[in-house]
Amino acid sequence: MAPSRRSTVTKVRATSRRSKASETNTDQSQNVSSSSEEKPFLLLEDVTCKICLNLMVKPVSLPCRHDLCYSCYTSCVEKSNLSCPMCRKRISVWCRQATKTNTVINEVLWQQIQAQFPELVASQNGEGKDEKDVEDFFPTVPMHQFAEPGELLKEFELEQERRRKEEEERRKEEEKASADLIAELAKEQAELARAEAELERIRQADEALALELAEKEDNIRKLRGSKIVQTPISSRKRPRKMSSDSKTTPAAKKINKFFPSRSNENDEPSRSPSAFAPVTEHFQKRDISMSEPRSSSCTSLESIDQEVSKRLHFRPINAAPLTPPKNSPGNSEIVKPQVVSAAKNLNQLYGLDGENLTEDLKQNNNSDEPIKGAGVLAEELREMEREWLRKKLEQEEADKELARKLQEELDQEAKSTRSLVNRSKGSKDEYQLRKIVKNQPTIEASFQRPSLRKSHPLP
Amino acid sequence: MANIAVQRIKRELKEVLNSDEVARCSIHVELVGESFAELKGEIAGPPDTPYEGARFQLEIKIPETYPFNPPKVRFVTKIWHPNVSSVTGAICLDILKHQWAAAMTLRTVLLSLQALLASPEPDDPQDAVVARQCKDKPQIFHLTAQHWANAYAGGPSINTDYENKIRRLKDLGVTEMNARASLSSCDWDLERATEQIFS
Repeated sequence: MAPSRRSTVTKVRATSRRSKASETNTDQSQNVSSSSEEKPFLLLEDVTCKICLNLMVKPVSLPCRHDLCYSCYTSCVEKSNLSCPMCRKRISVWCRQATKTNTVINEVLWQQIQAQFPELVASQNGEGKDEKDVEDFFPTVPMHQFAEPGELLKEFELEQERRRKEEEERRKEEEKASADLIAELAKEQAELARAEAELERIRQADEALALELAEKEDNIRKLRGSKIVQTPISSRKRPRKMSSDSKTTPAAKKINKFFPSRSNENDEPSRSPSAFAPVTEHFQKRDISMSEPRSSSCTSLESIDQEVSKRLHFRPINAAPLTPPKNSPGNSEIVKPQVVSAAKNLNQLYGLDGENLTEDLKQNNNSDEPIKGAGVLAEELREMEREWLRKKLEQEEADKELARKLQEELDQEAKSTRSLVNRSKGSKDEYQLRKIVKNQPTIEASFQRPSLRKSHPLP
Repeated sequence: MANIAVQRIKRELKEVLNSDEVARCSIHVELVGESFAELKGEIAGPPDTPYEGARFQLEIKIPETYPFNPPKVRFVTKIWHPNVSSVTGAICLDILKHQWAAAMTLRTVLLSLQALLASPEPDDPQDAVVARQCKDKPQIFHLTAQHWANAYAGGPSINTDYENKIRRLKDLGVTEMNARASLSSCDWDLERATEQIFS
């Protein structure tokens, strides 16, 4: 490099001397050509632009004998100052003159370069230049990193060790966490077991108590069994036998066999959703067929009972008498619902489904047996129950017979009385007509008195 | 960044990395980030100077108009030198300013900086305090520069006298850096330095 620089310096001096002698461009180009003649084979180093460090494209030869690309030259003139980028010599005069005569580019040198480095020139103009440069450049970047022999292995081992330790730590942590979880779970389970034991204990106590109660109740029932007719079965007994409700319905049907005309009507209310509606309905119906008070009350109360057993309250019966008095058109006498008779009828009713009761009790006893293990006691209880039920059935038969007789009697009576009723105006049994209301009843009023209107039906 | 600048930097890096100076660990350049706009330079303290054995980090920022305008270079490593600010690391060197030439490269710049370390120019100072010390008390300047090179740039020689003085100031609650700067600017006169700090 040094010798070439020295030669440049001498050339610069020569040029400056020549420029002083006011020699023009032709002279300079001669000079260039003469220099290239001296060195027919250009060195790549010499034709590399010092600015862009690439092969010179369209070289510009400055008066100071420095060469550079045309693009670099223009950039230099635009962005920097008017001096040689290599030696800082002022080039403004030359620049102006060369631009004027359009001899900025050293065509001779350019031709030589093109002749000698055609592939480089092509690559310079080509597109793939940049990528190639990058490829050239990047492998050189990590060159400065050198590892001592064995250093990499050591590093690797260290890293491995570190990783292993980390792994170990993590495993330990995990184990600890899982152990904690296990302990917690065990604690929870113990708690659960304790709670279950407690529950079991309570259940057994309840069972014992239930059995005791059942026994007591059976005793009571046994006692009452001797005077069946008078003793109504307590209504609180019913909810306990909720499961037998469905079985009560077939039992009720048995009664209905004796009163075939009413069977449909009886089934309907049992399906009715309201607790009160069937009651009133039944009382109305009973009013229509006044001739059979006992049997009708029996059936109506049966449905009440069904309702009661479903809804666990006995109120409807108490409420029943409060319904407005009905003056049925077909009957001369107003019969008030006799709730007192309900007890008897209820008793009858329970007597009827005695078989079901036994079954229930059997089931109850069976379920009680394994727990208590008191087979003898259960047998005794069952015996007592059967006895009591048998008596009830007998009573039931007798009652039924009586009821039928009464019904027949009443039917006859009704037939005889109905034809004799005097409906003429002013008489006792006259039709009760609605009084003429002057003002049209408002909607509100009609709402307020639906029961009244119901109770005074038009003939 | 202009294509020519990027191309230049790529080629210059190649040149630097393949140069003899890098092989001798005298200078070093590496990229900072993906763009070629910023580089990290490193120069070794030239031999037979107070900076011998130390390594100085440089921040090189390539302007958009490179190579027609000079790169912006400053010392990252603290250095006690008349042409380098002891506070900011700014360099006062003509080739990094008006004397820049497009033909100059990163390699030549780094070598120039090495040359600057070897031959300080107190008559054209960047840090006036250092320059005065350099001119008036070259002995103290030499020791101070050596001490700074040791403290910040991994220089080999340790000055226990200076270290003790710094420690005494540190005991008074002054940071080491401030203590060193004050003592250096007061020619290691502890009293004056204390006065300067606490005035």
